[in-house]
Amino acid sequence: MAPIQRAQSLSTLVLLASVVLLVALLGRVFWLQTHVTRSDIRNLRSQHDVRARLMARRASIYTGDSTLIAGSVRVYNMFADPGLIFDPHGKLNALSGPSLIAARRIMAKAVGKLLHMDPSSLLAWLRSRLYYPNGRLRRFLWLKRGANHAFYARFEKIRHHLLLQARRQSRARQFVRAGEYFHALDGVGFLRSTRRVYPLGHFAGQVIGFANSHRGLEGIEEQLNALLAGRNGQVIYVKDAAERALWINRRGYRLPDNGMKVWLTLNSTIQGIAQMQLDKACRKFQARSGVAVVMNPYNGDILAMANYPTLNPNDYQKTPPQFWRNRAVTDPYECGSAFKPFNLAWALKKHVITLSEKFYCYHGRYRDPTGRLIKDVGGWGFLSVENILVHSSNIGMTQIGWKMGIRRLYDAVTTFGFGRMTGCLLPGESPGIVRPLHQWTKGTLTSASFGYGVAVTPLQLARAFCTFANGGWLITPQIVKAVETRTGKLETWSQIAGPPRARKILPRRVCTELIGAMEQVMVRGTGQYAISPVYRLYGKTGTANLALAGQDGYHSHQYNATFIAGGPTPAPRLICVVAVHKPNPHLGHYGGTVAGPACSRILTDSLEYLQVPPDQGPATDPWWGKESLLKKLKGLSH
Amino acid sequence: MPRNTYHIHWPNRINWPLSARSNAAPSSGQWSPGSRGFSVALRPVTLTLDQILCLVCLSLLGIGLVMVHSANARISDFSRHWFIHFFISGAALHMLLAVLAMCLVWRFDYRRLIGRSLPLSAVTFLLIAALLLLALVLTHLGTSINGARRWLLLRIGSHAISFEPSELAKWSLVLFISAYAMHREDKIRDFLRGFLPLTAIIGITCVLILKEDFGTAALIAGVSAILMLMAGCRWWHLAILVPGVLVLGYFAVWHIPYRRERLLIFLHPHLDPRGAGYNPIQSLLSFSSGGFWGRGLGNGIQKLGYLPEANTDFIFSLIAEELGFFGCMVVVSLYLVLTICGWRIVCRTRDLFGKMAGFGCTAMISLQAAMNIAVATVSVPTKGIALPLISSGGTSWILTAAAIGLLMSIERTTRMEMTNRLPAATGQADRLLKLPAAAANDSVAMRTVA
Repeated sequence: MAPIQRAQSLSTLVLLASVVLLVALLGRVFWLQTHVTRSDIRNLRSQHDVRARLMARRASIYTGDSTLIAGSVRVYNMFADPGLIFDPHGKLNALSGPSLIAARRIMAKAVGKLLHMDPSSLLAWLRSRLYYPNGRLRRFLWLKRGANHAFYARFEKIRHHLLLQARRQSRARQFVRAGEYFHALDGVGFLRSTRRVYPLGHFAGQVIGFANSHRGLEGIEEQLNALLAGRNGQVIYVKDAAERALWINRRGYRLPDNGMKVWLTLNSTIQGIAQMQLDKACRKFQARSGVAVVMNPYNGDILAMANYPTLNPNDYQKTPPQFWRNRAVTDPYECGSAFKPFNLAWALKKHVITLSEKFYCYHGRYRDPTGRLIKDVGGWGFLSVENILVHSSNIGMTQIGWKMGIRRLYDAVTTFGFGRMTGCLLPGESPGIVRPLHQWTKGTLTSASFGYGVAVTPLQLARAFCTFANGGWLITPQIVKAVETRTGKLETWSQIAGPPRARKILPRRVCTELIGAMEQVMVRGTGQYAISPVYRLYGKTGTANLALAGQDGYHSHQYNATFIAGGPTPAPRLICVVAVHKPNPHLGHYGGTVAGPACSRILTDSLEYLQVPPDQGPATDPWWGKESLLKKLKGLSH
Repeated sequence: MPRNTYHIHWPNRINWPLSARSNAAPSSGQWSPGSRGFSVALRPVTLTLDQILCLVCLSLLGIGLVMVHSANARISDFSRHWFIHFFISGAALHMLLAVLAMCLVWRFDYRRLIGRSLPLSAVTFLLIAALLLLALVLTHLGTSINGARRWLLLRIGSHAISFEPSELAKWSLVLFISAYAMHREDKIRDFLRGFLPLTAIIGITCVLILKEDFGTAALIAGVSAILMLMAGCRWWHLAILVPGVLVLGYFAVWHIPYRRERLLIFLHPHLDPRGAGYNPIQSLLSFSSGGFWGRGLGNGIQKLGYLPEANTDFIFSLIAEELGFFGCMVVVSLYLVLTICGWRIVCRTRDLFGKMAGFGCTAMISLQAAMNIAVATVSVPTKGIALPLISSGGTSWILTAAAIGLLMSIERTTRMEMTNRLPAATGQADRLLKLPAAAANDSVAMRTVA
């Protein structure tokens, strides 16, 4: 074959082969571009995308009268990068050698001024933390946490000053010096976060609880965390290989939903009054702890819920953890005589007794049908049902209880909501302790008829007591009044959660009768120390021996003093429960003397604050203005 | 034509650049009956092979210019004057020079390259210069970029011009083998006097390149072997070389750690995603990232530091990511057109030098493109080889464009021979020795005819 023909055919062969090759490669390109697997996409995203969180702002909590209780403030947290500052391997810092040392000195001087530290000791401190114990280079170290904006502004000013210095040096063509100033603060930075503050300090500390910067830990803060915390947003941005942020991805961009503001039913003034009076009473009687609850009997709003000792959520660590809980809902206790009105009400409703029926009270010593000895404080012969309540006769109540029988007494206890949670939103709520019906014995019958053997929380007590004031309705206590929704609209809690449950359990007749009887408790019975000079109040004392822990029987000299009251009698506006735990028995232990005055003052002051007109004259109150006689009476009995 | 259709109204009396040289009267608009509008009947444009090649070359250079700018783009570089920066840049200057070189060589009668005798031929001088420069690169004068010492840096004041001698060696070797075939036509079948000297020269060139650039050396060796067969060498002479080449390849690949790693990791790049497997993984991710439709011009993410050598060796991955399958298809189609045109030109030319030089140029470009695309699609192990006319590189652009210009020159000369405007080449050296006289004619003919 002539070379020219051979050249012709060879070139044809090779070039057509390369054409085929190119077409095949195009096919390969097509295959690669159309077969994108999920793992490819995952690899790409993990390579390019950075997911950053946009922190939602935790919402504020207000009282019902719009006083700020809890809010979030921005704080600045200063950190250092010791690895970059000292750069032991010469890889991280923009500077090296003598200029690295000079820049470090500039940094130490500036930061030391901010932190009130000596520059050399600051550097020594940083150097001592240059490595983790396992020998790894430390790249992050907190310098100051929770600093306010003024601190940050001072830092910014110093940084600006250093940049000006750098510019001045570079104008003077001192580029090394300029670099030292420019990079001096490279190893120091700020992270912003929020801190929860409680401007009212001890105000309703146990109710509100506390939160860290992420979530609520106790109280309402914990319970309404989902509302208050909101939802963090996120932004996915694309970074280049040098980790520089480039642009924000449209995918996955979500603005943060800030939390919803919450208004509680607490009234700042009434809460203040309750806390002050409870504090006074508990201090006076050297009590271990105490609880006061003020409620509106018509809609169930909890207007005040005070605990002693108080908790300041701003530095909750200073209070021992057993006082972090809100004892008004978490701690059930045997309330003693304060339970009697509920039993009586049920007996009256079921027509087991009438108010004027008389029982013989055996002058203070009585053995019930099982042979158990029941004693009264003082001794009476025949007492009407009203006077049994007024004088708080256990013997009379035992007889009434036996007349009711186990079933009816059990119904009485459960119908008033004891043994069940009240359904208010407060966290850690206890249902109380009520034995199931089949465990009730005759002994239980005797105990329960004057308030032992059944443990209730102060909130349950207040709620049940509301029933007399509002004409027989068992209502649900409310703690949240309103919420600001995401759209900025203010919605009441009943609009959000539905209207609160209420159940008619007593006829109005019984309520009126019992309120009348309980007014006499304050006038001439066990609650005389609690009489109010301004309003006609009604109430009931309760003094209970503390049960021994872990065994049967009771402490002989450890008491719970309870007082429940409502007022004014003609048209009750407020209900108040004060329970004082373990008062010093040498100073006093009766509900009427320990808890009564506090309860009465809380009610009086709160009613005055609510501008309720005082009750007028002796037309409605036979004891009006007869304080001297009252004092005499007070000396006579309990 | 139905009355209710809208027609595109071409402007009157525009002589399209491609049809301007035609002898026919310029097309003129007419009122055509039954149509409401003024329509122009466009004459079909016939493109010759060299014109097609010119367009292909310009297209590839244009794509290269755009994609190199896209690859070099950084967010911080964005400026209001980007349009000016686009055209006043090194790449734009290189493109301009490349187009100039192509046009100059197009107007040049390629047969002058053969010369009166082989030692005095321009091609020989070119090759010697290339070899000297290659040797110079291996000394401390060479500049290394990413560990490969392939460039010569000429400093002129504060500016520096880099030059890649292996490119020059590549093209001059093709021309030299062709010229050798012309001058030593009688001895080429002789092992000692014809075959061995040629093999030695090719071998020296390849070994000089091999040290720093295995891909280019292999390409040159392959094309040279085919050129030698075309020149008339006996195939078994070449076959003798095969064991030697294999041993050389073994040492060049297996005894250089990074090449061995690349070879071993090629099928399973995920075994070493941060080392030898990094380049193939990132290249594949670019294809996935772009998908079928691409991310859009300038929207690539992989070029932002992830894809290595995004403006040179892996520019095809960048095209795939930003322009999708259509971009790839356009680029590959341009290379296909170039190859087919080259093949047509090789078939049409009548002298051996034209055939060999034409084939060498075409094969070099299309095989290099195929190799680059194969590397980018991880069909073969990673090699540092550029995509001709697209990958950033001034020397490469200019010389490759000049090579295409040579192809175009071959076609133009062939056409002129066919129309008897130039003395035909018979494919014999003694005939070609008379060329200077013919060339005198040639220049006249060029002015008048072309």
